[in-house]
Amino acid sequence: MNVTQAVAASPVHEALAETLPLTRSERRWSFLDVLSVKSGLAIATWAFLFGGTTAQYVGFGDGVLAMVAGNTIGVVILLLALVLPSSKWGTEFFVHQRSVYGPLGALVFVILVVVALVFAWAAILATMIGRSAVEIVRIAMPQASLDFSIVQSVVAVLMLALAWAILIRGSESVRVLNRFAAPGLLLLCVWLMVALFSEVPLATLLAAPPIAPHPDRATNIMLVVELHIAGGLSWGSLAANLGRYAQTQRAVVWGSLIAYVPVYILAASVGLISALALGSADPVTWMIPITGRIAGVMLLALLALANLSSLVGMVQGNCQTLIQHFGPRLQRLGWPRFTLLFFAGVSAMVLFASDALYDRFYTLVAFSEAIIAPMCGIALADRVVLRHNTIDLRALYDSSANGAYAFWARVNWAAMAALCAGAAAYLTLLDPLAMTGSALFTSLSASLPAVVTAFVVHVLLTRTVVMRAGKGSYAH
Amino acid sequence: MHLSDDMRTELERRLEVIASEQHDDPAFRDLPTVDVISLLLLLVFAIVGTVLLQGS
Repeated sequence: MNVTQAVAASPVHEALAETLPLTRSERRWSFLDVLSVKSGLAIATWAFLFGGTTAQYVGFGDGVLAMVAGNTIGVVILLLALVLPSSKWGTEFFVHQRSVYGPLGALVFVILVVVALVFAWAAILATMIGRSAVEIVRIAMPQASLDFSIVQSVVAVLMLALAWAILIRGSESVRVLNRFAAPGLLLLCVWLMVALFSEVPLATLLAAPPIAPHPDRATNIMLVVELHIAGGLSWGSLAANLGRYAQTQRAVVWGSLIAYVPVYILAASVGLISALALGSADPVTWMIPITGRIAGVMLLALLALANLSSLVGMVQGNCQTLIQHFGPRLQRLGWPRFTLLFFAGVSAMVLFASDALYDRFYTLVAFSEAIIAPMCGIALADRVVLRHNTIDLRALYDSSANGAYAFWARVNWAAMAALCAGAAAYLTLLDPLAMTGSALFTSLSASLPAVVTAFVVHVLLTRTVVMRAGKGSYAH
Repeated sequence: MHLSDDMRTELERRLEVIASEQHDDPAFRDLPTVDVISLLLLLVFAIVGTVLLQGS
């Protein structure tokens, strides 16, 4: 049976079937497709906000260099540790992680990293679109006495409905959307940059001091590097799940790297400059005063498109995870009904908790980082050092207690211990909520020691305990 | 964690197709060594660059 016949004969919806290992014919994304989709994800209000946070600690020159360094470190580790395995075997990311943590262990991470965060991220993005719409309404109807919080929520929910309509067709609609959206988003960034430089002379910008730095410059630089390592790593399972559609590993690596580093830095630099020179990283607040009403409205519409493309890409990547790990009931719902249910949940969050979420943007990132950094170290150790880049694809879908990757009661406690060690290293070096580091943080960062600690502990425990116990199908 | 019957059937079909494809297809090949080395060099440059920036 060839692929076309197999898919044609499939009893399940194509978008739902795509959550299983991908065949050759389904790996359709070229380098340009990967670049477009990942750029569509990278350029959104969150990039401006990260740039704005950078301005808290350093000025323009140090800020751009530290953002480049931090993002490069985070994204290269992400690609080598998390993206390449999903791209090679075509599996959903956390399905592949069953070979590392066991089926039940992987499910714990789905709950911690995806369920706890993805609804909140989607609600934040929809709320960001709503904020753009409020500014457009303010310009279009300056005399109107509207309740703008209602306008914001209504637009956010409408955008969620639009995102659902786009997503029904699965990965192909994400690809097509971003082939059109990505050039517009690049135009948005360049336009904003030109508008800012026309308002603020370069000499003024270079002389602008950071907003609230620590006394030590080296610590400030490391805080920014760390923030952007975290930003790079936090693409995590989403980057891996979207990377599955690439035609080759080369396409996914370089397409992702360009989108997540230079393209992202362009958007983050807009936030950095505006925070230093105008006191606000969020373009919604300064676009119109600087560019005028007509250009401002066009830019706000492009910003809404930026957040919409991020929303669609993020939900496409993460709904694969939810539908693979929460059993037959969700799968029997089918892709359209499942994603509708997902968006209904996000709409409820937008209506009842959006402001609280928006205010806790960085707390969400900080929370996930203490887990994702050690996950990268463990994934790298397991794939490269312990399994020599081999996997039993069929066994990944055997979640029984006797499966090849069942370990002990379907959990690999050695990997769990390695993750705890990595997370402990991270939290010892940095308080991610207060963004204050220990004495060693300035020299070591927090994410890199977390990656290295988890890597070493996982190799040691696997060689001394797991392999000797004959668990996990590691070749001796 | 388990798959529905339809999904299990679909999985079996896919594993069969993938097994026949993966030996001679670039999609299943590892990243070329030159690309891996380039990524590692980028990582080293970024780390060294951070140290130099802090000391400048």
